[in-house]
Amino acid sequence: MTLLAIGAIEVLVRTGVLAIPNPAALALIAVMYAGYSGGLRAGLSSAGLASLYGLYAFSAPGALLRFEGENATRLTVLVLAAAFIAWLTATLKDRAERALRRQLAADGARVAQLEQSQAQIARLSERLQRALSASRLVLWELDLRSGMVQIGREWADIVGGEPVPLEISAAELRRQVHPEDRARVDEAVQAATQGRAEKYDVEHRVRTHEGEWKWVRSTGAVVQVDAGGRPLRLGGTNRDITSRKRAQIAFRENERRLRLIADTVPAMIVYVDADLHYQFCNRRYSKAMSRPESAILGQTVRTVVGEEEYEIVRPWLQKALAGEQVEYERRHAWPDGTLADLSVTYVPHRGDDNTVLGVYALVVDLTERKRAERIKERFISMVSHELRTPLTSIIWTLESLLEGKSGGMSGSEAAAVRVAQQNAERMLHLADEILEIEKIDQGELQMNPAVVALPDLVGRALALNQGLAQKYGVRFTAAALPAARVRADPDRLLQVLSNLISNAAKHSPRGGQVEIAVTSRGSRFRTSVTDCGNGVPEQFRERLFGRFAQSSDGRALGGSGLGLAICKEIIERSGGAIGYAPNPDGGSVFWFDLPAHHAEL
Amino acid sequence: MKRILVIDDEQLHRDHAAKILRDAGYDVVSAKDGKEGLELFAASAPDLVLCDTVMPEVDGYGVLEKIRADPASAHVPFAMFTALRVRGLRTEAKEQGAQEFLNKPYKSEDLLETVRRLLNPAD
Repeated sequence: MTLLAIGAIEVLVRTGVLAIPNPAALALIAVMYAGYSGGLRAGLSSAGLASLYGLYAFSAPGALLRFEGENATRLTVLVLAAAFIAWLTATLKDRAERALRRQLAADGARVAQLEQSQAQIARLSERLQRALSASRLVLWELDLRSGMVQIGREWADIVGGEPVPLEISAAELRRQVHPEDRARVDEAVQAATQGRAEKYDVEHRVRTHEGEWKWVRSTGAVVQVDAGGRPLRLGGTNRDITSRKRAQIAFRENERRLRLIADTVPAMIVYVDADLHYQFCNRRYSKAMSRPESAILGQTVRTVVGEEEYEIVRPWLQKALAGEQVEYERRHAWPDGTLADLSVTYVPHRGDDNTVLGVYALVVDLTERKRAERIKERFISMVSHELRTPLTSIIWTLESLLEGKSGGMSGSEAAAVRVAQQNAERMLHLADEILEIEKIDQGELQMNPAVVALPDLVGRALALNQGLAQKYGVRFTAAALPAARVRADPDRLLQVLSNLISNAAKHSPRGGQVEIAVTSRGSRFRTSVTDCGNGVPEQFRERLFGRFAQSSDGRALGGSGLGLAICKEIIERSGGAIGYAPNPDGGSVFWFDLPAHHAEL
Repeated sequence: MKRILVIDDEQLHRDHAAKILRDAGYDVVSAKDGKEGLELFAASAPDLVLCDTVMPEVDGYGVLEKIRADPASAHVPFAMFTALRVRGLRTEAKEQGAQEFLNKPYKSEDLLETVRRLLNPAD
């Protein structure tokens, strides 16, 4: 550009259109312009070209100026000055531009950084928002001067309504709090703002838009203070804890109920951990130990029950701690000196990994019960004795009458005495059976199980009832598996079989046959008594083993109606079953099944 | 003739036993309670004692205990009878040293059989 401009000026000058007094000045202007507009390199190259042009302009023949003398010196100085000025101008401009560029670049970086930070803040804020909603946390801030509260939009998740950030007065918010909880909330706010508490932390209920109550845990702290240290803002989060609270309330209610049960049962209940420290005791226990619960919990068994007592219970406790359930009864002297019969049960408490974590102890005071039992037992045996003694007298008196030793009697008189004797015997029998059923009802039917060989049992029962066979004119036959063994109380079993045999004899016609058989039925043995009497009427079969069940037939034969009920009780308590089936040939089959006993190897 | 001491607070029962035994040819002495029974035991030196269980003051077990406690009389056979129907009574009586146990009302032949067994242990 510069060269073209200079060339154009040269043409104009040569054609005489333009007159230039000093071409060097022109060169200087051109170079300076080039330096200014083109920068250092352009300025320098312009200066060089201007010099070449100057050399040409002064030396060429016919040139406007001649390169000689003073002219040459002035021109050289001018050209050099132009070059210097061009360099200087360009250098300064370059430097300024570079500085500006650097400045701009720095600004750009800062802007980028700023933009990045803003994006980051947005991301963080979103993440926080998500975290808040996920954790059901609602941000809030209370301006203590204006009394206004700002609450995050998640508040609507708790109380309902539009999900928008709210600004609401503290007083209005307080009205939504359950009346019973307001004082607590007020106190928490005051404690936090007055510096009595480090944090604001309170659980309270709020009313939802539907009018229900929800539990909220509100936590926070003073987030801004003024120059004087006075709090300006209280900020924090609210959280819906309704379900936890409900569970907690349910748990407490449960615990309260358990406590009530534990304190009501007529037993002492204790839980000790594996180190034999008390973790729980009910009221009855602390009362029996004559010390408050607080003086028991956390203490060792040794310190609470005393050295002597501890030595007694220790082996049992150790068994329980080894994982065994332990039951025992013992005499115990209370601190006040009274004696008690205690029934003690230790149940090991196992953790998930099956290790024993502790022992539950259940102690029942049997003293009262035992005394009542003794009194009742004495009463029953007394009644029994007092009934049986006169009946014995009557029976023996009638017996001696019949033996004719008190003088002769007519046939009808003897028959009447026999009736009296039979009835006396019936009363005796009834008295025995009533006492027995009484015992069954009281759960006092004692069983002393032993291995019983059923063929032997049949033999004994037949021998016992031989008199009946003669009396009723029947014949007994027996067929028993020789190997049949069961486990039961031998005396009780004899009582049952005897009862069945005597029933069969009584209900059989004269000359009839009563068959006793022992057969195998899978893992059980069946003992059956078959008669050839009239059988049991259909409508009576259901009640056959009930109390005072008696057919008109049985009544005539002097039964008490309790015999079969007692038999049923004995057999069932021996793990067996008793039943009736009509005999296909007429008559009845009474049977009982008992589990086979296998000799232990 | 073998002498048998019958102790029973119930007169009819006492007489019943005495009659059966006398008819069978035994010499019978009888007492109306445990205290009198022990006096009579000392005075008459019987070969066998038949004693009721439930009696006022000194009962059958009391009589048995006294007789067994004295080495001079410890060997005398002792049978108990009772109108009481309590399980375990027979076992208890035998544990205390009674050889036999009879439930009232017993049959005459059962009483005689028991007495014979006690007086002739070799049979």
